[in-house]
Amino acid sequence: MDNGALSYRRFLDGDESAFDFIIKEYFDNLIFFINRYVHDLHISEDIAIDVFADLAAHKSRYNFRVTLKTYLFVLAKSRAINYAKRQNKRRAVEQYYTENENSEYESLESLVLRDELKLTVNKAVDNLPEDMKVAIHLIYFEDLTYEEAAAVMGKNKKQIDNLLYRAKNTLRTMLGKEDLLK
Amino acid sequence: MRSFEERKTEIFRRSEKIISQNRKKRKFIAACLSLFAAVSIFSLTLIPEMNSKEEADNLPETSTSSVRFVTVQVKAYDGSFYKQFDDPNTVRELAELILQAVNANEEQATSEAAETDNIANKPDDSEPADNKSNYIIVLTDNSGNQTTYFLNGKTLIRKASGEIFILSENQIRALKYICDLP
Repeated sequence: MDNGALSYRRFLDGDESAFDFIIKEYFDNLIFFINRYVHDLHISEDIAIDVFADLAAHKSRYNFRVTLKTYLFVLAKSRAINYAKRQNKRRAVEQYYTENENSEYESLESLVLRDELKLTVNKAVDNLPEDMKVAIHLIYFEDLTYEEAAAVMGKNKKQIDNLLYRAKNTLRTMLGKEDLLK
Repeated sequence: MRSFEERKTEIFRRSEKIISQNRKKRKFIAACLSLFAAVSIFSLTLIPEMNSKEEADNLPETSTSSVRFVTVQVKAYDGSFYKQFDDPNTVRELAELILQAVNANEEQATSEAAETDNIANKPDDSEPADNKSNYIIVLTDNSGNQTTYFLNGKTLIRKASGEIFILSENQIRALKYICDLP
């Protein structure tokens, strides 16, 4: 059982401080992921709060068959897509952020993507088609396995593999570098 | 963006709201189910009673008797006349006529019977002293049971009990008309 699932088990047994660990461990990453769909940090934070509220309220829904991280990302993706559909937002990142929001995004970005390479790639990733963008994000930024990424995206392992292959080719073209993502 | 404490507070505030809403939904559903069960039980017990009452009301039967007559035989003592009625409407008319006379005159007939000689002697199948306008009326019900009356002028005598009932002029006239008595 992963650390997140263990903490959640402790929370279910009555240890409310265990939920603090879960929030600290996954909250920022979740906002970053949701932002791939929503392109609004404050909305992304709001959706992330809803996801965690759902986790705290519906105690029997998580069945421990997947990692807690995977479960949270599945919930987040579903809510983010629903929000994006309702709002029908299709803004380019560079058109949206104000100066203040830009700095907030950058601090979140550096918090989540502690790797220089990932920071370099991140800006290019946002220009990829949605499925490719999400696949790259889950595998390379969130370190999920192919199976876990497939569970989040509602696809099979083969489809994830294909998406990653195409995404890497596109990124190589965009960034002009070889072996950018191994 | 919110601080850790702000996020945590908001998460638990929203989770409490979800739990409260779910509790209200469950109570509402429970109330609806109870109401549905009560209505179903009420309908199941009441409707059959209403139906049986309706059936009882719709039975082509006299007001006092729960037995349904199917044939009426009228025959003269001397064998000069015989008629059997099977038509449901005619049978009902005759039965009602006779039973009306019986019910209306029951008290009076018993007191009059006490003053006459007939009360001590139960009539049998033998012919009465006066053969004129003497008839035997046999009512047969749907169980095959028979009730026999002797009609002597205006007097109707129940064979089984010997009770005497006096028919009114109208009743005699109606009886003769329906039975086509000479």
